[in-house]
Amino acid sequence: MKKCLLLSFALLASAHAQTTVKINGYGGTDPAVVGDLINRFVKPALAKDKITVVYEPLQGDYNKSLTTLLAAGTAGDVFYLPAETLDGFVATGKVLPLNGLVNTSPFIKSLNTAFTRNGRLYGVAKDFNTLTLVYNKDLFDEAGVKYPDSTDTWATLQTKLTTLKQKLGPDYAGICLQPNWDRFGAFAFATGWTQFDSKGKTNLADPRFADSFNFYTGLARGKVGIQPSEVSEGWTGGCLKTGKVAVGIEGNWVVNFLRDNAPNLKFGTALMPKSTKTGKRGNFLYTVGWAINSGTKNRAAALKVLNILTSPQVQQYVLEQGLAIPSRTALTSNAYFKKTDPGAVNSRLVFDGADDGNVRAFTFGPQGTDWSKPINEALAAVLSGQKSAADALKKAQADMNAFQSR
Amino acid sequence: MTAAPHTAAPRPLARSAQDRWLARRRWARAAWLYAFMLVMSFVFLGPFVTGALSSVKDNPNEYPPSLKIPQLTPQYIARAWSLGAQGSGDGWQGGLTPGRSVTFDVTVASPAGAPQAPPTVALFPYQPVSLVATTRLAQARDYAQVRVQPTGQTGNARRYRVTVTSPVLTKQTGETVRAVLTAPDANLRARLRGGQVVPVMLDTPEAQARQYDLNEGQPVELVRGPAGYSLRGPLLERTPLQVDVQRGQAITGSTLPPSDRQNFGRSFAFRNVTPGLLGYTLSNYRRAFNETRDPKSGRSLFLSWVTNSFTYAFLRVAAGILFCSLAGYALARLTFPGRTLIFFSAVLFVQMVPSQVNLVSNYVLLKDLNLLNLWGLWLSGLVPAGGVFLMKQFFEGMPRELEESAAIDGAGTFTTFLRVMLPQAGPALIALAITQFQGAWNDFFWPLVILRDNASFTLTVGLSNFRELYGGQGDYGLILAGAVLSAIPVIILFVVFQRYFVDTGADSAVKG
Repeated sequence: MKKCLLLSFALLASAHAQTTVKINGYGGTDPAVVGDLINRFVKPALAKDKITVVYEPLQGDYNKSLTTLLAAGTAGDVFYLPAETLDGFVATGKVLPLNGLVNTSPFIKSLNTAFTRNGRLYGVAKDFNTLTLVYNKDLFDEAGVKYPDSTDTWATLQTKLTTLKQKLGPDYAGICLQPNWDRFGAFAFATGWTQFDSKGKTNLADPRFADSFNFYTGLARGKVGIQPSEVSEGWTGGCLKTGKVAVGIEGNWVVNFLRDNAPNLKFGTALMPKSTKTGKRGNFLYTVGWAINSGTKNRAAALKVLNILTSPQVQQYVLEQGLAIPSRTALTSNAYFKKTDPGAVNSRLVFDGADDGNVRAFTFGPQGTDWSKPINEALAAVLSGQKSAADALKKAQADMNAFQSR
Repeated sequence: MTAAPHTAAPRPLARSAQDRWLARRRWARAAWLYAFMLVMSFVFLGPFVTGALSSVKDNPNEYPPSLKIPQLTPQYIARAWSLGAQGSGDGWQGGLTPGRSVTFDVTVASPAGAPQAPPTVALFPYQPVSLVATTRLAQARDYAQVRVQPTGQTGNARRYRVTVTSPVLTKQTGETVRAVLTAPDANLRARLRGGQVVPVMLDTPEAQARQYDLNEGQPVELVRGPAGYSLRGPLLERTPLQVDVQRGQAITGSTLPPSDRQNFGRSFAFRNVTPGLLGYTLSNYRRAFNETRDPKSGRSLFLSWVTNSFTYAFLRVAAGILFCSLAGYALARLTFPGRTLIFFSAVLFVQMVPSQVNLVSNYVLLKDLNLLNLWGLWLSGLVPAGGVFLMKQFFEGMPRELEESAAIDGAGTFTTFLRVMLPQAGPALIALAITQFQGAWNDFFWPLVILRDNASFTLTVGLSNFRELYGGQGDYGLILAGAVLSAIPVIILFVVFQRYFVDTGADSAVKG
């Protein structure tokens, strides 16, 4: 009996010494991927520290779920922090600034910037994506037009697409244009335009913005560029799948989509075209970071876990498994990027895109996703021919002012 | 309008004209009624039928949607069966097993002046991004050989036969057994059907070259020889074949229609030339079960979701019947202090508060009780207020004489309830059971909030997971297949019980 008691005490004591670090992240395939990383890398490294790590996926709308959990004080010690909703989370004060706690120098600079507000770093990029031009080789071959490449400017790309459209006729189109900030914004950045001025206001009347707007919507002239709905698809990936559209602006996620849904489509990838005037590319960084809960009781353990999850070994593994594009600059020389299959080429160009030209994080600012509505409406109105670009921009600016003075 | 016999007309001629007019009216009425019912059933059933039809297509998004679906054409189903049987000996599941070969015919039209070369054929890797599993399965491209031979010519159309052969990777002979690879140590290891884990020998250079390509979870065929088990080869689930012709040529026929056409119709992809019947017509349904395996336990998550949904629905129905009938009877017939207060606060007021209002407090409560699982879900919906209300109203409508006669026979309150009143309440209980089952089966909000672990999801939450691939664009084939499967139990329930459901008990209530 006494032995039993002693034994149970010992068990209790050891249970207390055990620290559990909880991670919150996406559902879908992520539980399997992160579970694999935890088993392969985190567990062996932390076994002697008596730290166990559990991954708790948040199903459905991640941002909403995380907000609820943070408010209830039940969020994980470590969690995914999407850069596009960073401002909202930072404002709650529930995200621990990592300055001085994590060495950020090995990571791509623009990614660190994406997670920095007022000099404070709130997350370390887990992985990222940027936009590239993904093109259908067969259509370019048939039309006898040269593939898009890294030297293309807006003007030369437009010429190529227009020629292609003329050669292939009404059933085919040059480029798929989503009437959305999340694709168009990259072109606006190429001109040097910035999303918010020093007072936090957005200026859509800026001639640089108008320049990119006119180029993007001008591609629709003569049906060289079409919207996804015109080929009964919901997004650019769907456009490419049909084999009727030559170019789409997409990130690395489209590779898996095409492999599954258009396995015999021969595609190539090029960097985003340079602005004809500035000679610079523009691009979005879509990134999710690892962040630490400022209310965690296991800060030291959480930091250890974060450091392992962003270590070179983990990132190399993630890259070589084709799961995501890692955030460490050193991996640019990884053998995977030298492969010539279309998927690996796309990965390399997505990686290169993060450091080429005016690259900005994909974000909507502190007021959330509604920020992009006036721009999306303007794009849709012009691309479908309901308004002239000048009228649409005027209305967008008025809507934007109303929105921002709310 | 139904008074035709009473409208006597003064003259026979006029009368027959009026009769004809009335008969026409009757027919018109029937026609309107039927037309209305047809339209309604089309509106309600249409989406389900369209979804069910689209779920078997290679491209469920196809627009304009076509009703000529090869997956439902007897000719192609028969071919899919025979190709599956050639590839694996199993016409249902298909696949390509070691030592077997498959022939697939292609017709290419090469008009004069166009290149006369045979088509380029190749196998390509095809394993759709799965929902949870990250295991890379062996691909036919890496194992099987493919060759093409001309077999005849009609006009300028040439026929070619493509043969895909999967080699045997061992020289040993003996009994062939199937197994699944497990985590390797220095050598490959496999788990046999009986659960026994055995080391796997690689006795040929071809097999040795594959040692590090084969992953845990890969189904394989082994040969049991005198020296132990040796690898005969992996079981390939799909044989994806691509056929390309040159400019000027056209592919005019093939054993199965292509799943994808590109390059102006000069490139055909067949995602699986050894589909078998299930892999062809019910490919997305098979995927829903096979491609959602929990990496930890190897069990099909979809199956767990279905089981969870059934368990939850069953528990909800059982609890609903028990508690609602008891509470309903008590509130209808027993007199005790605070009865009205309980009725107003616990039955009516509770129904007026939207469940979202209690979300956070209930969530925190369940979390503190460590009940963020199916049982917590059950507890949160244990006594449906609406059900209590239904039962109360039903019992109030029953004649008191029944209870009085029971009391004369010496029955106490509980016996009266159990032996006299409850047996009369059949229709109301069935209505309650159906609504509870349907409510539990379709419940999405609470399960989404409470359930955390992949394996503990209900079907509704699991299905929403299918949507998360490709940045929310989703794998529509899988979504539709899952949705059709999840609709079936509710449809069966309604078809079987609709008689009782419509019969809300109004007539049986006055029976006593």
